[in-house]
Amino acid sequence: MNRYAKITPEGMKDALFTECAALHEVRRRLSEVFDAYGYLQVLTPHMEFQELFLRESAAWLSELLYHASDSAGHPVVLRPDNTLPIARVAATRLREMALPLRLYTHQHVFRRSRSYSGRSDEIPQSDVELLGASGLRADLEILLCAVDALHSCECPRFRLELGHAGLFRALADALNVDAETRAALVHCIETKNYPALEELLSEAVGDDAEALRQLPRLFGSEAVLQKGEALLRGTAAAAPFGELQSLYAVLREAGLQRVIDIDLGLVHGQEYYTGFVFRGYMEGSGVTLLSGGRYDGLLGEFGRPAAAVGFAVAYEPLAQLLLEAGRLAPQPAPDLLVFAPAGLEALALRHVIQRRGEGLRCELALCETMEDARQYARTKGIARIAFCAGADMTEDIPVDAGE
Amino acid sequence: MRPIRIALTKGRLEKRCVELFEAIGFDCGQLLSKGRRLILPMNGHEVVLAKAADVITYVENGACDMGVVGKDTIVEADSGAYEMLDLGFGKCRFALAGPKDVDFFAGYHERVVATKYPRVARRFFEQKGMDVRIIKIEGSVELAPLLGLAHGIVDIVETGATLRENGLEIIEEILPISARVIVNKACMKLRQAELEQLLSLMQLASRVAG
Repeated sequence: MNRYAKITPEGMKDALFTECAALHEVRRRLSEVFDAYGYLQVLTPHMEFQELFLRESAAWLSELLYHASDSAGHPVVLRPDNTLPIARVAATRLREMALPLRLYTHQHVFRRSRSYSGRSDEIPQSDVELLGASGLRADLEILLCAVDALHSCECPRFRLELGHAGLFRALADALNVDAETRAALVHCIETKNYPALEELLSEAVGDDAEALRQLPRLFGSEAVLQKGEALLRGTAAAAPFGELQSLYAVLREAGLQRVIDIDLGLVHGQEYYTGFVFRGYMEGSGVTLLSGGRYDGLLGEFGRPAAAVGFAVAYEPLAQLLLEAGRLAPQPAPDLLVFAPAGLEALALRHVIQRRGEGLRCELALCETMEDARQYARTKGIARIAFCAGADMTEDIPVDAGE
Repeated sequence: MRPIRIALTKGRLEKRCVELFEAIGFDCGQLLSKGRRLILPMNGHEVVLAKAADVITYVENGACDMGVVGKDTIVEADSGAYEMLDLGFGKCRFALAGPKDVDFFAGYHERVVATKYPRVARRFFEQKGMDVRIIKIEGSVELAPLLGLAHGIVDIVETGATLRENGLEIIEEILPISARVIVNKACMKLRQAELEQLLSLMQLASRVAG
């Protein structure tokens, strides 16, 4: 036997029974929220041309993708993300549909992780995109939708943290650094590597450089905004910071400050983000559960310039929560096993159809003798057997009734 | 909520960390007489001792909130955890080394480099625009050029004594290394106050010691 025939590739796995039910239940609950918000569900192909993802505005490195080729030999990849395919659909196939468009999808994404890191390379993800809408109202809708999505799955303690892609961009532009230094700055800020950031900026002077130095330190509750105000006033980042302040003020008014934090140093790897960005974490899990933000330039790249905002939730930890909370009882054994001796198979079939129609969960016995059927029912935990002895002579008996 | 869990790199860094925690005023009795236990209590926190690369794995996956590990391991693992403090001890550097008095860069022949840190070596030569063949060695890398397997090595150099004794010398320094505190991104956000307090204590103690 081939050694690969009996196992799954690293980073891939099967989902069985209650695991499967939990994932399904999470999708159902999320769909309920998205439907209620007026979002329409779509599916896009598992494989798309690599050019969709390997673009300047998206930070997908070729080595993070699963590659294959289409029937003509052109390179295709398994989608690593749902935002780009949905942006493509909105800008092309749906170009005649009036904006704003509200779309969502439940689709797995595929990303190659470091080998033996314990991470999944196939990640179940739900993605919500509000396309063709700029401004505060759209931002709020998306954030509220993210909060409701997590609530719907009974996520007990979670935090959303809010930042703005324009903060770093404006400050880095003002410093006028080369691309290499810029990438190093992004890395230092993203990993909150204060010593390295200091070193990179050791020769930079002025308010903008000072703001960049402080940016990753400014995260936490509302108080961060006051510090940010003092730091960023008069700098290149004043405008995006103002946007973030207004957004937070309204979120506060809506009573959402309980679940929302600020991280002014939140820089997303994806260049296409232009406005506010956010991430969601839940207690007891060290991973990022949810991530999103505003990307006003991306649809233009597909020929339909329009503002857009959205988020994706990697929902497997939510399914895990339901499982751990015991919300998904294992499926019970069927109610009834229907057995007929040789020659009376059609009778058994009719009986099964009739009893299923009555709402019973029935299994057809596939064995030759009543004794084998009894034995099978005992192993499977089926309490009753219907013995079809002839027309109108079928009766249900408990498995353990005397023979 | 479970106590804050700190992963320490076993060995030299572990000793320096215990000194650091003692300087803060933490009771490190359990760490000093650990026996065979793997999770040790320290002032209401939990300390886990692990190999360097595992410290990163535990922190990245959120099994530990925080860890102390050398910059060398962080770079080689290409870690995405928050790297929040430079503790200033465990200092050494990555360097390219080769046989004394041989010009590593001369000529157009293919260069072979032996290293325990293939990712660091790959990135270093990428930045130089050089195409080299990298061979991963698990033990004493200095052996490879001596046996004629490689033209040079990329390795951690502390004093350079081992290099000198084997007729090798530093050709170029690549990156300074020291012990760093890494923190899981989600934990930093969910337990910010506790972790920041701990971090500032560690920073203070490391400055006093340094």
